[in-house]
Amino acid sequence: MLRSLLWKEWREQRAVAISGAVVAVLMPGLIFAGLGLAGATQRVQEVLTLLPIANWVLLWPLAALATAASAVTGELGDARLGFLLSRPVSRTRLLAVKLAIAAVVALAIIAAGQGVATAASWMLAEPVVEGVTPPPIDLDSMDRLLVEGVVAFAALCFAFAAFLSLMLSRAIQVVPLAGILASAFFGANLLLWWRLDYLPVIDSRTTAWTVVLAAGLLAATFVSFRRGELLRGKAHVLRTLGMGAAVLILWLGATGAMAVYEMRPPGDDVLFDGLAVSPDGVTVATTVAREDRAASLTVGFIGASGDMRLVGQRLSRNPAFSPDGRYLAYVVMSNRLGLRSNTLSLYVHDIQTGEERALASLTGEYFANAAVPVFSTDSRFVAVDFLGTP
Amino acid sequence: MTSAISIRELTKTYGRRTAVDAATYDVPRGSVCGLLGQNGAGKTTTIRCMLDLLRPTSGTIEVLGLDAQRDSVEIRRRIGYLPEEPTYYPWMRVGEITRFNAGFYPTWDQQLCDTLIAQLGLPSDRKLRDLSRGMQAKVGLVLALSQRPELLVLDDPTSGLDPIVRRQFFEAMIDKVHATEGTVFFSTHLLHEMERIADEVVVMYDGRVLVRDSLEALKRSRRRLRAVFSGDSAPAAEHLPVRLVESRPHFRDFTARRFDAGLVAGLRDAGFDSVEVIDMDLEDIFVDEIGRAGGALDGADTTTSRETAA
Repeated sequence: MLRSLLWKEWREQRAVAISGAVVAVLMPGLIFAGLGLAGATQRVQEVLTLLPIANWVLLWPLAALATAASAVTGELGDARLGFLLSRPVSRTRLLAVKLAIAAVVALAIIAAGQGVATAASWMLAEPVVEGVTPPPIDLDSMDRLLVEGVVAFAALCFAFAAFLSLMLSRAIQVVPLAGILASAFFGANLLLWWRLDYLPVIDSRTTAWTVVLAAGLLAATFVSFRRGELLRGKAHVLRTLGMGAAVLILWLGATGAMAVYEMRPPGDDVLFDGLAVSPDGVTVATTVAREDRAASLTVGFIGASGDMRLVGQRLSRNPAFSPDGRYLAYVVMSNRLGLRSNTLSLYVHDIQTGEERALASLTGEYFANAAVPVFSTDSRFVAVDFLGTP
Repeated sequence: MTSAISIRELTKTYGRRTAVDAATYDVPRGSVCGLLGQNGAGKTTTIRCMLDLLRPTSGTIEVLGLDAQRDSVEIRRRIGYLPEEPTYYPWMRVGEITRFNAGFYPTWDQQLCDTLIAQLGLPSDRKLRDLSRGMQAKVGLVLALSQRPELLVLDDPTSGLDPIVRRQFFEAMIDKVHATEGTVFFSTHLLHEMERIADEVVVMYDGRVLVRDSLEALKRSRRRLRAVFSGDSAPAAEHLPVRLVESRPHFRDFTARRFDAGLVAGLRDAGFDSVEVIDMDLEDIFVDEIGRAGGALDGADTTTSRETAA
């Protein structure tokens, strides 16, 4: 029975597999051919570095969407599924085989794309040292968090497409809608955490939440497929829709609750790090962080009144007082894309007026750890070496 | 005799509409049982509930002694099912779909399958999308028979087929099933089809089961009684177990569910001059039962024996 099912699923996915692999192989080939024809061979290196990213952003989600969408959609749309449902096989097994084959085909397409990118890099990359070709795609140099995020997004695309394919009759409807929904929920997830001051944007927690949603949707797909009266369109669609809405609402609620929990205002569990004392010895500034949220730091200072005031945003650290005690300078590290590159900015806070100004910034693979601002003796100038030499 | 199918108080509603209303009946093993009814009478819903393609709102179904919901996989392994409008994978060839289907059934008989394909003149290498509707129905029958089922369930299998294909279809089916002493449960809206091959009859109307009996007993017990009277008004017959179906100036037509000689005597005693006893065929019985149920036959969905070619 399993052999019959596998054979049939493979035959139905074959067209998707072949066209996906052709696109995966042809796309970079065409780009390189175009570069060659245009005589722009000096851009080959840039294209090589962009190729894996293009695969992550386009090929992975598209492969996931197309294969999952074609697993059930067509068969349900024209009632062909009735043939399988009336065979002696449990629906859970039926759907599991369908989705397993879809996943294998998606992985094959992705592997084809990555294989071409790797092969192109091996063949075309310029040797750094004569006679030594650098490894083409160095996973260590990629942002692992970003790769994990992309995998989670592809999984979410797969789950949305599988879920929607129980309700829509054509793959051409499922693919864009599932893509839009997956992007919306993935984006909402990132935005929620980012708005709540969590850094970096794509990290293991946001990825985990994405995977949780994908798993929830797949579970809803199985329940709906197993228990639903699949051949009765309207009732089945309403039931499935309800189940999907419940999963999405629960997930959003849980994400929000979790994020809000993480955002508790600093209380007893603050920790102090990097102490700076004002020249008059009255005000003390330090980096303040929550124990459970090490990624979010602010600068706090305590003046004569004894109250702590918080300044800065996101990753603010390394406070330094001006010799006249009027200004507090600190460095802010921000990271919007979840990539390894950060933007370091030098901020100056006027203790008297409360005014805050950003003076300079630098973007690159830098960290704020050693970048401590230094004032001139007359307090008129402030300098920082973002690269870490104070 | 044990039952191949046992339906108890089966009710299935779609929103406010009741498709099957408290249906209760048994189909004896080894019988050829026809489920007769107009379109929308609840035949397909009943069959789909048997296969667990639909879940009953209430009531139970046992098929071959197994619970239709709990043991649905086992039931489907042991019954051959041909839906009203079979939809196949259009890209498969006839030979491919038989091999594909064979994988699901431990009882599959490839020799029988090959014989049937040859008998019915099916081209093994043709794709299913290139086959006519009649050919596709024959493919369905080959698939259902080749698994050597204990019970064959056919949902209006010949609707839309021309009379010649229909005859071929039923001859092939009856031959094979009688040879294996299996049970056949088929639904139809064509009375003559039912009359030709069924030995048990279930009549459904508007979700309800009106009649469940053997065809023979049904024909034996039902009669139309034409009672002639003289004078201006007909004698009263309300006290007798007969139903008035036609009033004419000099006679009244009644139908009786359980005919015996006492009814003729009763009508005479009531004041009728003479009583003519007329045999009823299945069509007469069907029309009579629907009249008793308070319904009328729609012109469009007639269930008379008129041959309807696709």
